[in-house]
Amino acid sequence: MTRSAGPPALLLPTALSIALSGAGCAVEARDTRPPMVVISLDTLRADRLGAYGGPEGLTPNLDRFAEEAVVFEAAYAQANETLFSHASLFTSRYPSELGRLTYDFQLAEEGPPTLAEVLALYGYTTGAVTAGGQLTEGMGLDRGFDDWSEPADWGSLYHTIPPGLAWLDEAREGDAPWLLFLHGYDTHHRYLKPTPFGLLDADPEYRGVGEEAALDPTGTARIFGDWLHPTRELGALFDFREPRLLGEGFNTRLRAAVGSPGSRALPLGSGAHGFLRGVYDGSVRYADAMFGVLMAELEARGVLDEAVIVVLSDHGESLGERGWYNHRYSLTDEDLHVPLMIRLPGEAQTGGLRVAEPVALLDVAPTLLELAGAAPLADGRGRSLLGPVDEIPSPFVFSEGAFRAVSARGPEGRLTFTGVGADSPWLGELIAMHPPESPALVGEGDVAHLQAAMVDWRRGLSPPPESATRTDPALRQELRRRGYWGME
Amino acid sequence: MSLLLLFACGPAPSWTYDGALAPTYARMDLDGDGRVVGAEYVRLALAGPAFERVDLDRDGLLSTEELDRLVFLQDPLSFDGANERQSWGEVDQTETTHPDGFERRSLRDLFRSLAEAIRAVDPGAELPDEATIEAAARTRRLESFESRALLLALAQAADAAGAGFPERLRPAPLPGEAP
Repeated sequence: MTRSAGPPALLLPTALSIALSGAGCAVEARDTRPPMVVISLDTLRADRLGAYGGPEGLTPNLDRFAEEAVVFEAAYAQANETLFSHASLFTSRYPSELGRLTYDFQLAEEGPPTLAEVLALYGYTTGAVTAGGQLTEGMGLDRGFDDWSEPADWGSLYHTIPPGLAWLDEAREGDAPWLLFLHGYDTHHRYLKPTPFGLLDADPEYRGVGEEAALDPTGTARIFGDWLHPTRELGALFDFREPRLLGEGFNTRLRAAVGSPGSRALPLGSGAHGFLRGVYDGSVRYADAMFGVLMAELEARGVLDEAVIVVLSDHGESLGERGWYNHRYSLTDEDLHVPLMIRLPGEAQTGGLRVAEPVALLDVAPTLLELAGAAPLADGRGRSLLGPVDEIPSPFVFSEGAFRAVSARGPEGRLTFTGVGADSPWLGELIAMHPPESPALVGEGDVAHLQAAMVDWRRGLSPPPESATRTDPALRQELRRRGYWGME
Repeated sequence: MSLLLLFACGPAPSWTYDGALAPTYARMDLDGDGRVVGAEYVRLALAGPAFERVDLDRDGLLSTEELDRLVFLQDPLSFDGANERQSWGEVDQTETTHPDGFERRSLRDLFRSLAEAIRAVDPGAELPDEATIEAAARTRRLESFESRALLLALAQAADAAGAGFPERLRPAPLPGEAP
């Protein structure tokens, strides 16, 4: 593994040992294993951060954090949906190993161990403050956390930081190291954030249909192509029986729906896409400001001197690139390339280090477990990002889509296979028998090599537990009400 | 470890609330004169409070303290009444979840993908039609008569096309049936 900057031999451990040695501070005799804060900024595209080549000045607080952290420039999520991606993050398993990729998904009790469970076994106190939505207790992701709270449904860091800090203050009164997982939907739709953030990066002079899309909570989710549809009934245009969710059948139905005499679809008109992307950027700026506030609170408590801080996103967001504003529908970089930054305690020497090689969110749990001196997760699919970086083995990062797609990224390019669900027991064999010219395979670079890697990957995965299905009809109905209208 | 010890030996705090919001304030200050005047605020107030409600000291400027207050008083879920205004009732209730469940969907995808792979190698290959695939998928069983017949046809087509076929999907001969 090579890096674009920084010392040549070791990545995280050298700095960690320095940081944990006290760094000049008086340290009482106590558990020296580092506390950990994992911050998940839901739906944050990597390319919006200045540290990732995004617009200058949009994310000054995250960019400053990047200067103090190791920045993984090519980090990819293992799923394009919050629930599946976090389940994978917590277990270092692919989502299809944990359950069917539908909204019946639940992290089963008898499923693979989670990061929080293992840390708890090693004496960590564990707490999570999430913004609800797909990260509710009913999904099973609370497994292993001593405390789990959801102060607001589909909320923001605005809602989760205060209870998160309260939990942290209590945890720090004990002798045990701790893990805090903090989450916010700041950049999830609806993007529009309170004044002044809402229009700070959009054209405030813009007037048009884009305003309605920005103001309505489901607005951007009702955009397909250059049209804003009156309701989310457009979801009915998806035919989940078709091999390609966004294939010609969908396009035909979309054209018919837009062009029909009774259609109430509104043309977005010029400037709307730019306006909406600006509104999204405003949500990014809002998340950045809240993150800066969180860092101030952590520093005031001395947490930055003692804790490992991880900042990541569970997936990105398409911003009209293929005609919609959402994730879930594709496995492109817009939906999967996420920020991943790890800050070690104190004045670590790794600050500003940048790692260019592809890594996966699967790698986060093994990394944190190694930092905690804990055993790795049984059959975890990720690898620790600690240690001699030249020895990090796999050059491939794989991801699974919510809508019958899997993808591989590697040095040779990228490849997506569509038409069969990631949870299909026959997926590996089907990928293997498709010739590179098959319409089921869309890629760039050395497709044959990527295809072979994808087949090997699939053949090495485990089936999900039999009981990995949520049965709470109320929760399912709520998800449907929120626009998650079924995935089968 | 006591907080006092940490503060005594650590550097001065470098992350602050003011620092976190300073870039936002600077962005609002369009003319770069270091102040945010009413007009600079109003152009951004798509759904926020009127300037008069924000400018607490009525000096015609938005101070950094007033910005702090503004940001932390506005709940991002309801700052413009969005939650009340939203008509969730409009959300489509069309049942798109397939009534036959996973098995049928999965089998249909399987059969189609097998056929697609063969067609990609030999566009002229004779393959079972969509109705045959659907009929087999409806049985929801890989071992059903329909599925078995379909898999046999696909395996033969794959062999003829040189497309390869997953061996564990190739039906074994039934008792008394020629291999």
